[in-house]
Amino acid sequence: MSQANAHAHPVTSPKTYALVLLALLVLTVITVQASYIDFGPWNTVVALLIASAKGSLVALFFMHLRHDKFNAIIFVTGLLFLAIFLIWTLFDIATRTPVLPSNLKTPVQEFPGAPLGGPVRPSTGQPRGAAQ
Amino acid sequence: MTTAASSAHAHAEQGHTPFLQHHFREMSQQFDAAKIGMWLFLVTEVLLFGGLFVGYGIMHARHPEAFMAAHHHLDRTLGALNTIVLLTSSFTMVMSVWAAQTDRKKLLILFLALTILCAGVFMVVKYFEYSHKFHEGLLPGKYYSHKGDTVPGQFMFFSFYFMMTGLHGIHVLAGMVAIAWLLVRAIKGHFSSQYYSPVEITGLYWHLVDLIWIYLFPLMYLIS
Amino acid sequence: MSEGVLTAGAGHAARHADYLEEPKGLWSWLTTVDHKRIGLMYMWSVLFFFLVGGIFALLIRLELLTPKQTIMDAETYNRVFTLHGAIMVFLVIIPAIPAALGNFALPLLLGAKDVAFPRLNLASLYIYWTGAAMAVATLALGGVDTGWTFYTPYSTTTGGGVSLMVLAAFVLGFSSIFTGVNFIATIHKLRAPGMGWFEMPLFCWGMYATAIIQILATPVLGITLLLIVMERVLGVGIFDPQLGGDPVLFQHFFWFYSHPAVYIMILPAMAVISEVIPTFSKKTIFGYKAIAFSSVAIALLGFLVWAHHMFVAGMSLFAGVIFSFLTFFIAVPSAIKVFNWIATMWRGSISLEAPMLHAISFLLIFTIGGLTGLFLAALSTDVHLHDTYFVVAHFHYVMAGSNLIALLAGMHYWWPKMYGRMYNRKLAAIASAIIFVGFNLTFLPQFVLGSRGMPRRYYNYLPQFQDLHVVSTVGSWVLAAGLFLTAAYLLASFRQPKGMPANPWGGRTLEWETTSPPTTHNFEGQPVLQHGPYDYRPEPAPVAVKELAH
Repeated sequence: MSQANAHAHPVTSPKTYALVLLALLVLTVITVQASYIDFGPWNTVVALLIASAKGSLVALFFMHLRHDKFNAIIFVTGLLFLAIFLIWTLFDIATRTPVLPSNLKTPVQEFPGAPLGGPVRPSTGQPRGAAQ
Repeated sequence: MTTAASSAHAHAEQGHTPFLQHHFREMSQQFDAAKIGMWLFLVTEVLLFGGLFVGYGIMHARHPEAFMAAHHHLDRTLGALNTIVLLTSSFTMVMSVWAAQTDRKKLLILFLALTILCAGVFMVVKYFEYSHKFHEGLLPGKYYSHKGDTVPGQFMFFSFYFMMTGLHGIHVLAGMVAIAWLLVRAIKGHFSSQYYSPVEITGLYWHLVDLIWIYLFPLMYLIS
Repeated sequence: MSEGVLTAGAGHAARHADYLEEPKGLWSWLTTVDHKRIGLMYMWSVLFFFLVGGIFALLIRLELLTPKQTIMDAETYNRVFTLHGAIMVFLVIIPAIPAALGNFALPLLLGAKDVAFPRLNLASLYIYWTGAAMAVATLALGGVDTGWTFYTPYSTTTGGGVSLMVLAAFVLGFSSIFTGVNFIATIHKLRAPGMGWFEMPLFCWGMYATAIIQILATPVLGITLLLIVMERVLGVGIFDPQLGGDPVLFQHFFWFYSHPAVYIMILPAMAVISEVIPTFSKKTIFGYKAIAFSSVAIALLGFLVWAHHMFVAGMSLFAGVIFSFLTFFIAVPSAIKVFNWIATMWRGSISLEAPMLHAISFLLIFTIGGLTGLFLAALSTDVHLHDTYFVVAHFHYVMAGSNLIALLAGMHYWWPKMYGRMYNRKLAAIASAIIFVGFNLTFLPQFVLGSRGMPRRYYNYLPQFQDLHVVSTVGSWVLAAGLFLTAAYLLASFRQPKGMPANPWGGRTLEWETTSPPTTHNFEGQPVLQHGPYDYRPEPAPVAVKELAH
């Protein structure tokens, strides 16, 4: 009976692994240097793109996904559902403005006599239930 | 209904049988199953940490000034150092898999040991970072006591900093324990090109720990 | 009793020791890696916690007999319904069918000797027991009064055993995840030779779809629970508006798991029904692929709709519209299954044994449960029905009525295989009728109560609601009676000696081709698939089946 391991699991050479490590280190240097440059609203995108490049190298080469379509599907599915979690949550979070004190045009002050930390009407700053 | 011939005979033909479990027909089936199992577990880790990333992202978007101000307290050099250390440990880990795949027992032991060493360096650097934070009062949530902030609300950044790096650190420690156990088994000679799935799947776990850090590092240390 | 039908390969009269007998002793059970033993231990554990949760339910219903205080004060009432919910959801319904019936039957149905990772399976059981102990221990800390949904900011600020309960659920999550990992690997790698994806029993498709959800959803619950503890201990701020956080964000985190969780509950139930109906209609399943694909469709679609639990929580209208629109789609694969099951029964040779009676109850109850979900899916009606008894009735119809009854169906179906004994079939038929009547008496009035404005989790209520509450409470007694009767005759079956034939029901799936109970290794040798799982055509001639004269 043949030793199934040998052909089922291709052996990548140490040279390839070393080159991947080199690429990862270079990308690390790049991402640190990039953080000193202000891309404006694109800062986060740039950082995440570089991180994803690094991540892809790790996944494809170190985690052997290059030769393993089946497990690659499993992994990508996990990432996909994480994305769904984020995006679907943003359907709500990104479409409403939370009433934080800093958002109010007239900041809400604590009035003397108002209960500490108690519920306050935003429009008047008076405690709820207090006479108008 | 007839049943097929017993697999008892087939067992004896499988070269290296001590590690073949009784419910598998052959080693390759067992190996593939182990890999599937580990990848499924890694997906759960992605979603576990992912939840923290989502929370971090949303709170960062809600409180941009506080988060921007807070992250300046982090040392980019130490963060970059830790990134390099972890990337190197991923390299040594996959080299240990290669060594097992190619029946190089001494190299297997060496690379496993190097991986643990790198992980140890990571934890030591982490220790220094944490001590500095404690010293400065840069603590999570209600324990935040840093003086002299011009931008309020920085406690929330540190809540996430400690939760995310803390959870990550726990995973590094668990990985170190798992790899140490592999090291013991490697020294005992359990692994060879016929059977190295524990090395492979522990490696997969370790790479994921590295992957998480690859995203943690820029999001916590570098965004400005 | 006789040995019954033997398989041609086994050939001789001496019985091999079955998995119950060998190896002997409590320690052998506690350290077993045999999926059948693990499945049984899960089953009895789940049934025990069902009793505990059920007692809490009866207490709730007793309290609600009168509009004011009946047997407990308001604080206690909050703790009782919280514990009822938490125990039923995390300790009973989520694990029940997968861990008990799935563990027992899945390898047998696939023609395998065990699941892919037997030791992980045992770990899963121990993790379940640990989480259960932690949950029960919260009673010593004054209980939990947040509702099983742990909404912030109450859960992050109230006293009691919240952190421990939440950590218990966290631990239990691992049990669920490991079961899911095991099942997916098993189904991919351990199918018998000749069994392609479309030759495996539909129960396996159901387990596979369930496992997908267990893996993708449970970790998000895990992090949510950890965040509750972090909020309590550290004051993290993510869910606290006073600190710049968002309590509705908690609900997104929580329901991202908890909505798919209800599909973790219903898919296994549907999986059991897909086995029972063809066997007791002596007819092949109608629309195999439709049922298989709809299981996966439900699993995946279920991840897109969670915020239909949050329409009135303070979410944006934009999100409300999207989630409402998407929620309607789940009705499609669910309905496909119901139509296919009924079509399977059509012109079948129906045998009204207990498993089938429970399956028919399921069809009726699940239809009501599913359809009433649509009222809640629609934004406009949900505004009125949210947090009323309408919701309580809906989810009891799908969780208790459907899942529980499917569990009973599966237990009655596989009981002879598990224990080599049969229960009193007449009592079983009577009990299934009592359960059906009791269940509907308990929960049907609650739809009316809810639509008339009776809020859920309320301890006191307006006098005009009392009549229906009384009906509901009496119904709970009838339901309890039916369940106790079931327990009684199932336990009584142990007084008989073992001696069931391999295939008492005439099923066509592989578990019926081995002895009842099976040996530890399930089959003599590796079974090779000879025919489809629902192939009820008359036997093609050659294989002679020896029958011992009785």
